[in-house]
Order: sequence, then C-alpha cells, then structure tokens
Amino acid sequence: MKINYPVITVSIATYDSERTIEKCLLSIKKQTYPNIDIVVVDSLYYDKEKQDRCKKIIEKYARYFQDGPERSIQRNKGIKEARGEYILIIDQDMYLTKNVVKEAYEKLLNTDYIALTIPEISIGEGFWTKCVALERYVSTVLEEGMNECCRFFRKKDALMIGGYDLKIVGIEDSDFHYRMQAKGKIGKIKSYIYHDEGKTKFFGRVKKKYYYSVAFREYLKRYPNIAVKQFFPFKKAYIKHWKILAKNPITTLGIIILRSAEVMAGFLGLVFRRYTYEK
Amino acid sequence: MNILILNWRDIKNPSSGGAEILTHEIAKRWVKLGNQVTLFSSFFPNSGKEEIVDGVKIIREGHPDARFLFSSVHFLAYRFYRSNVQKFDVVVDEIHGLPFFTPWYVREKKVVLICEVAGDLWVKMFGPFFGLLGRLVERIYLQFIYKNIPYLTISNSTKEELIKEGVSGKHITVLPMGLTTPQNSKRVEKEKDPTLIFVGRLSKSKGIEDTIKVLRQVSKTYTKTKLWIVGGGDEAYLKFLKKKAKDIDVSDRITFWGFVSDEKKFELMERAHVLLAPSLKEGWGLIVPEAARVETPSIVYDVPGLRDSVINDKTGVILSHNSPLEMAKQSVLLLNNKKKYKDFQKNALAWAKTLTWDKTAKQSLKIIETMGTTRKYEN
Repeated sequence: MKINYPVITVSIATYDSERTIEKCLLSIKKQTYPNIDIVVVDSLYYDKEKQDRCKKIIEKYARYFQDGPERSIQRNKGIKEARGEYILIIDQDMYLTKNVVKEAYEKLLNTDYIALTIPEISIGEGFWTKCVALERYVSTVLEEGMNECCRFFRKKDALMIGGYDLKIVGIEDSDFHYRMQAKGKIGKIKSYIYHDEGKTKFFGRVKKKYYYSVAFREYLKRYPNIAVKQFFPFKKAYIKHWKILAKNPITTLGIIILRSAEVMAGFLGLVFRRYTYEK
Repeated sequence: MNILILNWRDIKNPSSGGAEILTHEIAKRWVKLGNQVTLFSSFFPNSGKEEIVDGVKIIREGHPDARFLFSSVHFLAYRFYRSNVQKFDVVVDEIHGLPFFTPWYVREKKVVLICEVAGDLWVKMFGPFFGLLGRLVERIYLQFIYKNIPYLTISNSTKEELIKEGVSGKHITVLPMGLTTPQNSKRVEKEKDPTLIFVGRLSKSKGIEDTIKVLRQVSKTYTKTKLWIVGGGDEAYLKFLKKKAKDIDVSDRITFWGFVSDEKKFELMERAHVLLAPSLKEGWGLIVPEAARVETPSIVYDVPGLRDSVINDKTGVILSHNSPLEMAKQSVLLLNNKKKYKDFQKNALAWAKTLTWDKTAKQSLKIIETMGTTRKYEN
C-alpha cells in the first residue's frame, strides 16, 4: 500500500551558525519521513562575510531567506514561507534523531492534539554543559509534564494565533506555547532532539538571563502563575528523581550554583534593566 | 504676455530657499518663451531697488514680514499694482504663510503658487499670539478668499493638505519639479566601505537621531559602515547628537561635515551609497532627486513630501513603517543585493534626468494661458 505523505516544513532561524548548521541540516536529510521541505531564515545582522559562508552551506540543503533583527521575526518568516501543512521549528544547534518528524506527524494525525513538544537532550563539552544536560534530563525527558515548548504544529494553527510575539525577546517560544495551549491540547513524542550547547560558559548563561529579563517582565504580566513557577529555581522533578541526582553529586552541586546565579541575574535584571532598556 | 509675480523674497536674497529657486527657474523660462516677467519682492541689506536677472525684472520694496503693516511687502505690492494698473495680464500670488490678498484688488487673471501649507508651523515660529492669529487667517483665506482661484503647487502631499484645509481639488495643479545641478560635474568613485548619508538642516524635525540608530544596526552586518551627516544648524542639537552617538558607541564612524558648498554636497552624495531621509515632513524632499542625479538611491520614511520624491522599489525605498529598525533592514538588504543596487542607481539617474525646469515652466504657463480662454476658474 502506498501512503501519501504531505509536505512537512522544517524551519530554522539562524544567527552566525557556521559551527552547527551543516550537521543540523544533515540530520534533517536523514529523517525517515520522506517528504520534507527545509526553510532557513538567517539573520541579517552579523558580519557579512560570515553570512556569505553560512549561506553557501545552507543553500546546499534548504531554501534560504533573510530577515531580522529578532529571532521571533525570523521564525514568523519561516512560518510564512513554509510550503508544508505541518511545521517543525528547530534551532540551528539541534540535531534530530532520525524518527522525529515521522513520529510527530503520525501522532498529530492520529490524536486530537493541536501541537507537540519534543524532548531535548543536551550535548557539548565542559562541566557546565554537563550540569545543564543533567538538569534538562531530569526535568524534561523523564517527566510526563511539559517543560518544553511546542515545536510541531499545523501551519494554519500557527497563523491563527498570529505566530510568535515580537514584543517578547528571548522567551517568545514559551509565550507561543501557552497561546497555543489556549486553543487545544499539547502532546509529547518519545523521539528526541540533541541540543548542542557547545561549550557552556557560566557567565555567558547568567548574562543571557539578565538580558532576557526585560521580556520576562512582559511575560510576568501575561502569565503570572506560570512565570513564577518557572522563575522558581527548584523544581518538583528534582525531588522525584533524587536518585539520579544523588549519583552525580558534583554535577548536582553545579546545577544548584548555576540555577541560583541565573535566578539572581534574572531578578537583578528585572529591577535594574527597567531604566536602561531602550527601544 | 506680461506677468507679475508677487513673492516675499527673490533669488538673490540671502534668506531665499527652494521656493525662490523654483520661482526664478520658471520665471526666466517664461521670459525665454517670449513673455515679460516682473517680480515684486522685499528688500534686503544692500539690495538694489531694481535689477534684471536672467531677463526677469526684479523690483524690491518693503519688509518681508507682514507685521510691518504699511511698510510690508504685502501692502507695497498692492500700491505697486495700483500705480501700474492694466499693465499686466496675469498676477502670480505666491504664498508663504501669508498671501498678497490679490482677489481683493486684482481684476486680471490671477494664480496662486504655494509650496507648503504652514499649518502647525505657525505657532512654532511666531509664538501663541501671532501664531494662532496666522493659523486662523490661513484657514480663512484658503477657504473663502482664494476659493475660486487656480492653485499651483509642488507635490501631491501639499495638494492633499490643501484639500484638507478646504480648497477644492479641481482647482489644484501639481507642477512637475525640476532639478538644478552643479556646473562642473566631475565624477567621483563610491567609497570603499558602505556609507550612509544624511543631508539637511540639523533640526529635530529631520529625524537625525534615527540615522544614528540605523548606523548601529547596519554595523552589525557591515562592521565598517560609516555615516555622514551634512548640514549646519543648532549647536546645542549638534552636541546632543554627538553625545547620542557616543552613548551607543558609534561616534568614530560618524562624520559631521557641517554646512558645505553645493559642489561639495553633490560630491559627498555621489561618494555615499545610500541617502537616508527620516524627516517628519517635507514640502517636496528636494534632496532625494539631487542624490538620484548622482546615482545614489534613497531610503525614506513614508511622510508627506518624501513619498512623492521616491518611486518605491525603483529609485529607492519608501518604508512600510517608519522606524530606524526597518530603515536599517532595508539598507542592509539594498547593500546585500548588488544587482538591485545597480538597478536602483540606473533608475534613479534616468528619473532625475527627466526632472527639468523646462517642463515646470511650460506646464505652468499653459495653465495661465488656458484659464483665460476657457474661463474655467471664474464664476
């Protein structure tokens, strides 16, 4: 029996992606699902020479567009340019395991979910990456609940809720997630994505939180309950899976330090960035 | 035909601007086409009382400010007309804030030439008392006194504003604009690094702060991007701009050229890649066709005046929404696309070459001639 597979678009928003993009695109090419259209929306705002090099790589595998300056703008462009009925949104540093698209498609087709999340496993070098990876493993992969943002959905649903919000920089995907959730149920698949964190730097991560705090303020206004819950440094999952954590005491200590620093930075940002942020 | 032009200033006046260039360029062509032209305008220090420039007879009397009442150019123009009654076939009444009130005393054909409706500028320029008074007078004369007189104006934007003020659209003609280019046009090469240019008076209404934000954003893509700001103006504002540039760390790539000669201005425009025009309002953004003449495309805000002087996506870009980010984006897209940039350059030059004062003069003359024969404008 021959099955008709509809086109599925994988959309990637990139910024200075030379390190990971080829591997990412190759992982899409290796999918077991046969009918995939790849759209890459690159940022306009980094060094032109690097842009040209990335463009060369990307154009071998995908349709190439440029937009910016925010990631949400690029992602919306990706949704707009998608040829498929279904869309999978990923980042430049994510590698799909080979069944992701197929499983997601079948799940969305056979259930009444409006969108799906996909568990991520962090990979990379260095101590802090290990911490991040373990934290993610405990709080998302092992958990039934959804601590991730939805990545797979129908194009028409995304357009219906107006795509990603341009006002929320940095956490626009979780805002998108909750707006999607207001329209229907969100499910989860079993196949996972590798998230290449590269070499995570402690201060790099903390600084990022500081900068995203501006958007967090807007987020706090919209979803106060959820925001506080996410803001809170320690999750129930930590207690539930204490055995795994206990097996890696040093990494666990790292997680505690990192999470605390992030929350501190976010809090400081919330207080001080108010006066320096300029539109 | 014997034509009398009433204008508050003439081409030799040190305070003259774009309107005077327009007036003089068409007046001298009317002379060439076989008419006699007399221009009545105000005096200025060391001005002669009478002079002939390019065949146009200029008579200077009175003060340009109407608040001088009986020694103002407006009143003396009336006296001049009365003492030369029946000598002229047509009177051109040029409005700069206040008109010459020709409908009250001129029996012959008359036509209004208006570049800009002053509108909100009244209060800014003359304070609340004279400002509001002027604004009131403007509304009254546009709606009632000059009701059935043909209007000549310079852009669709001004036409729309006139219609908003209560002038009937069928009386208004938009003249095609010309372009005065420098005599010695030595060709210069474009700069090596991407260069953005702003040309104009340094004033808040020109949106210069936005060009600095554009520079910051474009620099993310082209790290060596430069910005040239050409034009003189308020010292305090210049200081403010310099501080602003320092704050966002781009001051080493901004050059403030100050006020420069016309030749230098054209040279700089030719060397730059893109002209940025983020003004709040213009009569007819003359700077845009000037840049087009030296093959520099423009990116402009969608505002009155500027939207008339760019053919969108042919000679430049009119932004879909007015913000520095959007302007930066379009600049980067234009710089990215070499083919598109070349096309824009070619189109801009071709379009600028079609802008000649001959057309302006001929069309305006035609209106003056035909309005007599058809009596279309007289009730």
